[in-house]
Amino acid sequence: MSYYITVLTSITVDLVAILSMYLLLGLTGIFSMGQASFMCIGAYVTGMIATRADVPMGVCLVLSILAGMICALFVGMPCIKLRRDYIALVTLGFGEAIVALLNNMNNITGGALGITGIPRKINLYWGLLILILTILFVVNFKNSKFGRQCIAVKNDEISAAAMGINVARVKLLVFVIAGGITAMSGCLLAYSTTYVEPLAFGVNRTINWISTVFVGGINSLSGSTVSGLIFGILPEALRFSSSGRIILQCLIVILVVNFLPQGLFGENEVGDIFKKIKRKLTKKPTVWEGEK
Amino acid sequence: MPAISLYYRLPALHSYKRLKGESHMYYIQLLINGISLGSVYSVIAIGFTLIFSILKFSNFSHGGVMVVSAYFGYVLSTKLNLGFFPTLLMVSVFGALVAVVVQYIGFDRIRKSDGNVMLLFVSSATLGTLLQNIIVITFSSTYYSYPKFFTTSFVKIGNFTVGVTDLMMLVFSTICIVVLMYVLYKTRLGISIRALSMDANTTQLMGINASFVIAVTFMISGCLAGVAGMFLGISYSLYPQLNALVFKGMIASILGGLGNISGALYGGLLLGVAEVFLTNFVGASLMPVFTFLFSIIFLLVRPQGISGKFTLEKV
Amino acid sequence: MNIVEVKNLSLNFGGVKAVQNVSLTIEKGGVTSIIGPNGAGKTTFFNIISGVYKPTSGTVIFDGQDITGLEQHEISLLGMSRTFQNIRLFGQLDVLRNVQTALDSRARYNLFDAIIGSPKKRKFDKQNAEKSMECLELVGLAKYAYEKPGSLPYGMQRKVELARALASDPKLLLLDEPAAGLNLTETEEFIELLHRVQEKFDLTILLIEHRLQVVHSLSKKIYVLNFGELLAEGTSEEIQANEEVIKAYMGEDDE
Repeated sequence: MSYYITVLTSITVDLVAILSMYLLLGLTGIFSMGQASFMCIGAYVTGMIATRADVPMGVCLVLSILAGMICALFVGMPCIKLRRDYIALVTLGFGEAIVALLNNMNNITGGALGITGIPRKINLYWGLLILILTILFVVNFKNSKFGRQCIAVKNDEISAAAMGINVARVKLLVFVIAGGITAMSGCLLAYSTTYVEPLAFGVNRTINWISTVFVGGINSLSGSTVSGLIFGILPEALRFSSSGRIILQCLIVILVVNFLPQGLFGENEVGDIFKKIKRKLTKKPTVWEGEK
Repeated sequence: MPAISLYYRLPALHSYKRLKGESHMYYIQLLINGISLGSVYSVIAIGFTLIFSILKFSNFSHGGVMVVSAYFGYVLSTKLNLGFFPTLLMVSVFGALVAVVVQYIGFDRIRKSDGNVMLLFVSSATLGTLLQNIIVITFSSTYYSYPKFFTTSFVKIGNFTVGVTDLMMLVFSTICIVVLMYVLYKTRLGISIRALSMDANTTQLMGINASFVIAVTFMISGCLAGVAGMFLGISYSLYPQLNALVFKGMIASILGGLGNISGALYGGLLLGVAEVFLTNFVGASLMPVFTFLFSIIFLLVRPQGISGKFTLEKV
Repeated sequence: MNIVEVKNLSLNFGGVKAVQNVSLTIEKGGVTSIIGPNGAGKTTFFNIISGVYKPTSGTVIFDGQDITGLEQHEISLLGMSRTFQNIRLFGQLDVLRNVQTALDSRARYNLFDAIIGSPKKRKFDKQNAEKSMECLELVGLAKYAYEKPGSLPYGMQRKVELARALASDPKLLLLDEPAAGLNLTETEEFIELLHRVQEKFDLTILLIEHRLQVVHSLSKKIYVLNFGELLAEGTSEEIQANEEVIKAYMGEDDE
């Protein structure tokens, strides 16, 4: 595989994870500081199965997603009713705990060395296909009653509950779904890089996703996706040292946060343009009758 | 981005011998070590909480300020051969300056435009990472050690051995906390800070210059970050990922009851003691698992934190 | 027939007795009002009935069912909806979607329908959007359906909240100082709107108000709260003649 294909594949994998971060942070306002650990879970489930048995990719994918969702349920259940800062703390602790566990279970997970020799089954096309399916999933979720309920919960929990929305359930649902999607991205990561090691999934990775979502515009799915692309491509294009890249990325984040607080996209979505045009063209007359 | 592994390097801190046969003595020894580690966590947690209480966001740039100050102290003590006390003084002043610069670059504009609190958080996390990576570029990722400031490394108090560094940590952390409490509760400035943390709008109506008070609060917080950073550098050895120890401060301050200064103090001590005991019984490498379980159980049992009070949201 | 029966309701915050031993009943149909000076515990009383706070003691019966201690959303789904004193709309949803959230929690399609965009999902969403639009037309805001609530003036935001509370066809509507911050003409308009609402929907309205003159033409029965306790009850005329009520209001600066 050529270098560029490798880079693009890894961007695709990260974008899947960023979509889950958008669901959590952008749509529902849940601050998960340990989201990378779900990627870790997915990657390890895949790594452990794929190096031991010759199973089809689909099986590993499904098992990874399930593992992510179960863990998310386990973490989410006790803390979802707590204050938002506390959710940040619990998820952060969970992330550290998972990494520590994997580091210590030498005989199963390879400890600090990680797992190598995972068959390379994900190429760019597979990655793109899964990314597009995930985007469709998130778009449909956002445009359904679930998406509206998430935004309502993010904006005002008490008012949302007064509308009959089960706030805790909505939050838990999103947390579990996001856990599943992030774990799926972990599975893709394992299959595309052929190795996993625990230290790749620390807090910094999560913070990286959070800032990506903010730069794109916390309220915009399109924004999150585009900024994920920018942050993936830009450092590769500029060819700095790894610390240089991080510094560059930090500077961009600080500039955007200070001068474009709504992010690059604000609340706009690519799909909205068509809706607005359609609304202008059809001009429903009934709408105007109520007001004299 | 390089991953963070706090727990890898923890055990170096506690070089105590088992007090054979006298198990209760041994526990007391552990307790002493726990408290001195906890006192540093308290200093981090208080610096963190100060900012949380006035601006209502988790200030992760605090870790960055700690790292930068710790390296500054290293340069002073090795290149200029400064002793312990002058270094500590310079480091705390330096920390205060860095914190003010950080607040000016990262938070001033967002705060004045009444932005989302989450923006402040993202800005602070980014600045923390930025400072950490500036250190990586200047000093590379290798480990440095502070020079030995004291000729003896242990003192015996009765039957207990206490590391001089541990003792210094305990003493200076206590001094910092006492001074801070005095400032907060007995001076005009302290009253302004506390007023601002309770109700920003009314405080400004009362003629208090919020920007000034916020800048000063950042200075105090930076000062504490400097002190904590230097102690961490001395006892852990110096590396850029020291930044991540700000999470200990965050955990401590939440355990103590978010936004509550004395809560942060207790939270830090509790966390320090819990960590030392856990390290001893389950090993340092599995500690995060237990810290996680501990914090979940703690929050379920006492969601308001140690000294927090339940506040009903006004509807 | 009573839609709400409250028995010996109390709530203490720390040492403060916000609501003390309040018992009252609300008859089905028409407008009932709760008035009282600032800090009398009116809003707290609402918050207990609608499930935001759990009472220290006492029971609340709604439509024949004991709802004491139920969660907010459960109470809402039983047919009680409310507005807030300090308007609480969802800033990121446009006006139409704001109203639609009340119907969304009652829409019967599952996650799978939502993800594949099944006909069932589209049917429900379309129906609910149309119904929300009707509610907006009723309050005269259909024109602003696609605006964000933050861009509307205060009085209109109140109407959006009213539309949102009405959308779910509630049996009981709790209005928390709906005329606060409105000027005289706006208040009159609002009262007129309430009459229209009353006619169109078959519902009971419980209204909190600070000023007696706003409610006296509307309500068939008025309760007066003071310092968390029930001070008086009766028709508008009875209340206006009540010595104690006048005394309670005398110490107060009118806004």
